[in-house]
Amino acid sequence: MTGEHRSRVLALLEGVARDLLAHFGRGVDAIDSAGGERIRWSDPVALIGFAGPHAAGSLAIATPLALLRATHPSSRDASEDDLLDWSREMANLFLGSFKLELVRRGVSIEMGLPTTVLGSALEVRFSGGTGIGVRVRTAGDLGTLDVLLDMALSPSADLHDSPEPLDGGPGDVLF
Amino acid sequence: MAKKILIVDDSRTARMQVKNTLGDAGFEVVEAGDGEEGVRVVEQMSAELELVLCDVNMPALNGLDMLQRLHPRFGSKMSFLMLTTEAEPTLVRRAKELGAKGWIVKPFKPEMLVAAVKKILATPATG
Repeated sequence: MTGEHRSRVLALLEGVARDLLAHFGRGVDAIDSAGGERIRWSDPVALIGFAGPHAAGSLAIATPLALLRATHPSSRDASEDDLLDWSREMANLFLGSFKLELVRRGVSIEMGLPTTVLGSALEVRFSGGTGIGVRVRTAGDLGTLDVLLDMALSPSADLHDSPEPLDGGPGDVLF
Repeated sequence: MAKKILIVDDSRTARMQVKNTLGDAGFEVVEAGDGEEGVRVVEQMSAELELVLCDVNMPALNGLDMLQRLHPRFGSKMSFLMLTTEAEPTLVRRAKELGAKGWIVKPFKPEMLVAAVKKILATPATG
């Protein structure tokens, strides 16, 4: 990925993270770009792959249990299994919104199905130096959301700042 | 007898969100965890269902293939509404061609889902 691609992708990831948390009524205190190569987590990590003619890779999201519980539809009664399921759906929502931003810039991908792993001190590392990470510190002491994207992107892809309008975005009803 | 709504989604949490939202609005909601199970539930409960809400990316059978399989047989009895994180125009067009009545992009606002469901149920399924 070129340096310009990296900065564009980083901006897209930050925007998607802010919008997704805002949808669930959660503010963001700060967003920092992480090294992207290796992050240590103790929270559930949801992984989801994607592939297309011009982009392919994986997205990993570590969501603090406190944030999962606070945004779960039955937060008080949610079991650990429920929260792990919710972490998978959060990754699905995140990649869906990120995909929409790519599609609006002419880059199409197909999404895989998410899975979640849970460890007491998990280290996730993508090989090849293609990872980009953002650390999102949530408001209200709900912890830090870690997003790590490993994406191979065609050099010809143009992730421009003026995306094409689409009929549908998150929350829209089409037809 | 009150008609029912089927939600087909591989995420238990997503099904719960829909069930809570539509349940609070007075609808009775039944669930299926993937497209294959969705097909079985529709075949078994076709007389009781009036709407199928369906995710797109699912294991076993995806939502568009499920729609393709079910709409020719049951499209005159019930409506189909896609509820997914996807918004790619080619997928949206395909769903419309296959007979879906609408497409909602997740994450959704509860009031918007209820309004969309009421609007679709106000018009008869046309097959």
